[in-house]
Amino acid sequence: MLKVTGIFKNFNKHEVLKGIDLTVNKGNVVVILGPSGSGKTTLLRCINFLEKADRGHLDFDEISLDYDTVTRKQINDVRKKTAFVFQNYNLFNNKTVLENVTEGLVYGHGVEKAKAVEIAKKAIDKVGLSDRYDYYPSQLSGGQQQRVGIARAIAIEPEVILFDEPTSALDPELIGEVLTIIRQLAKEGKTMVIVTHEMQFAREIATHVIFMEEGVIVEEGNPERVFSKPEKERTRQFLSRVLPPEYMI
Amino acid sequence: MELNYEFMVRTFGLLLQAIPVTLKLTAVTLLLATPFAFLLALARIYAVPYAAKFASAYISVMRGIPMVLQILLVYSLLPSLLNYLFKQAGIAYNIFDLDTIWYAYIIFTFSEIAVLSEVFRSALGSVGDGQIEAGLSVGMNRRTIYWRILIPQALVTALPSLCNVTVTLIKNTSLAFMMAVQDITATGKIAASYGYNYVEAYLDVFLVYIIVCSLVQIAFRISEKHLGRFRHTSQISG
Ligand SMILES: Nc1ncnc2c1ncn2[C@@H]1O[C@H](COP(=O)(O)OP(=O)(O)OP(=O)(O)O)[C@@H](O)[C@H]1O
Ligand SMILES: [Mg+2]
Repeated sequence: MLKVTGIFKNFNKHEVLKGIDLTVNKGNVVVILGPSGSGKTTLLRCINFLEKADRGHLDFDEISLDYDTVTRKQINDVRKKTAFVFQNYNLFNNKTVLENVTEGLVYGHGVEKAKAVEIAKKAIDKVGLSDRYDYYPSQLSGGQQQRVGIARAIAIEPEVILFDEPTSALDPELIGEVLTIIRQLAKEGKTMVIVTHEMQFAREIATHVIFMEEGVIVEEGNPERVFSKPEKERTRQFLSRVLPPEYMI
Repeated sequence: MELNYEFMVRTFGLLLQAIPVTLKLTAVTLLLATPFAFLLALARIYAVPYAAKFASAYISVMRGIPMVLQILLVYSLLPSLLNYLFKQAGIAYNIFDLDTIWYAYIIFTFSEIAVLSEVFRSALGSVGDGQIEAGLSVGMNRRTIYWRILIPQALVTALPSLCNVTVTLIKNTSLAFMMAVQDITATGKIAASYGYNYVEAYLDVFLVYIIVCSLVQIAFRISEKHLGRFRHTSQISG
């Protein structure tokens, strides 16, 4: 369904992505792991053009494009099929919870207003905030804000949802409520690419795990194998640093 | 010293009638300057080649010239220059028939463009790129994001500065008397010169400016409260 190949990206001559290949099939939950600065965020951002990769190819259903010759229309087409959940939520601060969700539907996807409200309410109910429609982001806790971020993403019914460390800005006691919702989405068969440092969660939810370091994919495979029998020394070192000892063999 | 109270009251009434001229000078200037200031702010935010350089140069030059000097220069040069150009081009219009308030608009607008563009730049910058990216990620285009998300928030952030800018401009428009515009100050000066009641007249002028500026500040505070409803609300979680 979604396949990127040979992605390169540099910031001021500093090569951050060095030829990444990534395939996401329908219903997959791809989890990307890796130390800080390895290029995980940049990779996600290149997929929906919040960052423009220098080189590489992207196939997404009927869309096929090269990053160096991509057109505005192709960018819009890809964005319509994807949604992004940000580390810092990035809610529209001057809009209520309900408006945060309808905004993209109405002004991004051309959905009629009344219909958008109906869809938005469903999405907000799903993340458990049906009693908060008219609240502003400043009146919500971090966990609630991130749930609105997820509602905004699922409302446009994207084919792939990209999550960039959805819980790392949250206080520990608020992480659970957000992870529960993502688990629920996985159960419904939503296709997702998730960057996270929550190892336990990653292992449990992933259908495919990618370990990145310094702009390359070091190792990938099904979660059981990557977590319990990593082939590469680098992966082992990383996991032993981030996993509590009882998970290591 | 005896103050002529009867004169003061009468003059005060005259000055009140001149308030619209001062407000018109201020409002027209702000309206004319806003779109240009916004473009200069964008040029600097997005570091547009040449335009950004021009914007910073323009702003620092305008900052460096005293308003009085701008008025003296433009008001003594522009009419003769235009007159000459019109003659050369064979245009029959007599430039000296033009209401001099137009020179005031032009001069004040040129200097407010510089001031406002700095206000807009910092206000737009304060909203942050995250919300633009969020908008893009749900398929909105940049223009829609600016109109619906960025500008409404930047406006609220900018209101205190805009209030300062407006009050300063109201006071600066008093220099319009140099261009024979009948604003509050000019009206006061004329009233004073009849019977040499300068002290009374200037006290009146002083009072009127204080009243106008206070009202403007109150208006800004009310709009800030109203437009800024989405902020500073107490945290309700659960
Ligand atoms: N806009 C940018 N300008 C310059 N350098 C950048 C920019 N964005 C990212 N980088 C650099 O690219 C590298 C990869 O960053 P990226 O954010 O993709 O890493 P990450 O794997 O997401 O890290 P983390 O786990 O800390 O979020 C880092 O060295 C970072 O400093
Ligand atoms: Mg990151």
